[in-house]
Amino acid sequence: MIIEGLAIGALINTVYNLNKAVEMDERALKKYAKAFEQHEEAELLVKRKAEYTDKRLSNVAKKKRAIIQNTVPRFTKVYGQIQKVNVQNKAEKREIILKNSTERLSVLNAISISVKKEFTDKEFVCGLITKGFARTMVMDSEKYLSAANNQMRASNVVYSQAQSIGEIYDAIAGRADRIAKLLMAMNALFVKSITETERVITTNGLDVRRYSEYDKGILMTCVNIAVAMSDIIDVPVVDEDGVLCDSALKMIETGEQYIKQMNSLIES
Amino acid sequence: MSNKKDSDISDSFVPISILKPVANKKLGITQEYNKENRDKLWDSQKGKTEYKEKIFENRQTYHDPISGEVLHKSQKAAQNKYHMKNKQGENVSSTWANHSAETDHINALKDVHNIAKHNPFLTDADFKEVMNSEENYRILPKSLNTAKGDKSDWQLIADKDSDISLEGKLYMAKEKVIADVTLQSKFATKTAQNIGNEFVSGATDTLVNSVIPLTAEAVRKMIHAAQGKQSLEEAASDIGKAAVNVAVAGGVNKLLVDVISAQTNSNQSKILNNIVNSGEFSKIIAVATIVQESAAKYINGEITGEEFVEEVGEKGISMVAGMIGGQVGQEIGGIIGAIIGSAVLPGAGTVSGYVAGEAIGRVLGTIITTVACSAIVSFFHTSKHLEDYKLKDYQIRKLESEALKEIEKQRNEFHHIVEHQYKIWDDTIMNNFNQIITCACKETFNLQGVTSGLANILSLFGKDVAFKNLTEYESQLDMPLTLSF
Repeated sequence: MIIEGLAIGALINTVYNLNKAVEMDERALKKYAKAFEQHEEAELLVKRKAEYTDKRLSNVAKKKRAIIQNTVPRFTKVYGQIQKVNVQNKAEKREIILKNSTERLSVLNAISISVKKEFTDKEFVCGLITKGFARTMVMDSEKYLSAANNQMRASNVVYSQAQSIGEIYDAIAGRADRIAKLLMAMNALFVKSITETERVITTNGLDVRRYSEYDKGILMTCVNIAVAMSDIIDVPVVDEDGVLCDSALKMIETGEQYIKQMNSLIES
Repeated sequence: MSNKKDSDISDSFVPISILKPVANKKLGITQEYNKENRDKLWDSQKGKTEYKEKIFENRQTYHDPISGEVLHKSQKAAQNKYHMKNKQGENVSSTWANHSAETDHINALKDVHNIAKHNPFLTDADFKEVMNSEENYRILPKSLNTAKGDKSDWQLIADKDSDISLEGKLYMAKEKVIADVTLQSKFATKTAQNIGNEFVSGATDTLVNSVIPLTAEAVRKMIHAAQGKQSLEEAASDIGKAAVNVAVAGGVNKLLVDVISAQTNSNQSKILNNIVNSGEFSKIIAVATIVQESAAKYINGEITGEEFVEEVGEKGISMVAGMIGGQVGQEIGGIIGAIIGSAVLPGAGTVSGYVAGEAIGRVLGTIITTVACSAIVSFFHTSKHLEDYKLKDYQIRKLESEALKEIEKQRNEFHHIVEHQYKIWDDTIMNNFNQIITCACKETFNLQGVTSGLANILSLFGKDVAFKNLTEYESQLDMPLTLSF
């Protein structure tokens, strides 16, 4: 027909554009692969950090248990000779707080899958007429590449969020290690103090009011350390009232908002 | 405008559905192309014979402008004259075939059937009628007809090794263009008629959303067609002539431009939606593609109605000329250009005036009177949104950039806060432990120093020592000491 008469001149351009379309499809596929790979890496990053932090938290729990099971009974036995000691158990509540806080961080938002919207028949025909077959194929490939690029962009944001989550896990692990170190140091002090208390009681008997100022000071210090130990053991690693928690939450929520917006755009 | 009633109508809508209905039309072309179907349904020996009679008139020979040969009406006469057989009755020569006239379809039945069979609004009878129009017939020597085989006319025209002369190729091109436009126009008209009838069968009046400008005369023609006073085809060719006259005249006459601003309620029209969504959508508006750019410019308000008609006129001429020039090859493109510009072919007027006038006339007529008007607008809007994905791309890219920047900023802030907090922690613990150890030594025992060191450490957790001095300690010695672990 009439249109056919112009086809010969466009042949070379058609071949070039079709080749371009094929190239773009290959690039699009590679982009998708990279995007999903990066998403996997983001999840792996968070998983590894979570596992490491879990180990550090377990270490704290171990130290606390050791103190409660070994040092505290000794204190009760020694100091209990001159004053009645009541020891209450709080371990179970503490563990639940720790568990829930770290679990919240493990979930990374699932990102929407960015797919190329196929041309409708009408759009395809319009494309054929206004832009020609080759250009329509290129446009189709451009759409595919665009969808793949968008997947990559979404995955970049998710990875950044994963890095933020990783930062929080690092902070938790850092705090856990500091608490563990403090517990060990305090325990050493506690043990030494109990030994001194035992010496004082053995030397002076059970009537504290007849002790010298120095000896009373040793007993008072032992009790202060005991109470301090119970306070320190009671402190949660993830301090939900602390400033670290506030800024961590803000950071996570910001990331979640952006991921949500990204998903909406991709799905539109 | 001379007729106020027509003017009122033209200002509102054109009811296409007032066309005369054709009862019980079996829509849809038989899908399979074979010899039996061709002979039974689509070919017309009668039409071909009548055409040959018309061309030869009362003569027995005819000078063929394509091959340059003298052709005989009767095959037998050609065989006798050019000594096909020897005295023994053996076939010795085939020269006669160069001089025997045959009626040929310019656009082959098979080629067009392959396209038209997808149009759900044509019948076999429509196809036969259109394909056997005079404009699609030509006289060819038998030998050329056979040698042509499956080649298209454009391929023959472009073939440098072909025996056809330059004048012959020009003539072929001219006939080809006329045939193409005629077929497109007639198929589109038939389609519109059949669609119109479909509307009549169930729907209310169909309103056409047309922003293509029309002359006052063209509007009146449309109304006449809609009211059944004129056939659609007659109206189309009349409208075409009117528009061409203005264009050829150089646009001196002021045009009365009436824009029909009615609406196609295509959401309620299943038929229109089917057209738009059917695979043959492009074929129905194929003719309109010649003027689509001008139509788009008019829709966008870049040109006036008058400019639109003039532009279509110019564009049609250059398009036809461009096709001929392009197809015949570059080395004779210059010659063709000169011919198109000013030369006169014997007995046919100028190529551009004759060919373009006919072509543009039919093109305009078809556009104006079929649903192509709404289709142009519809697909123009669709084509505008074909690249919307680029906008989305840009939005996502922007969001990504903003997100990464903000997330990183907050991450760095968090890191800074953590570092600061831990420094305070480390310094406090270290300094106060040193103090406790120093003050706890027997030689330098300082109860207050030990107590305050402990207090400072506990302050990191918001806590304090149990007993600040001996008085407080001694006062509770008679009570049980309660510890929580």
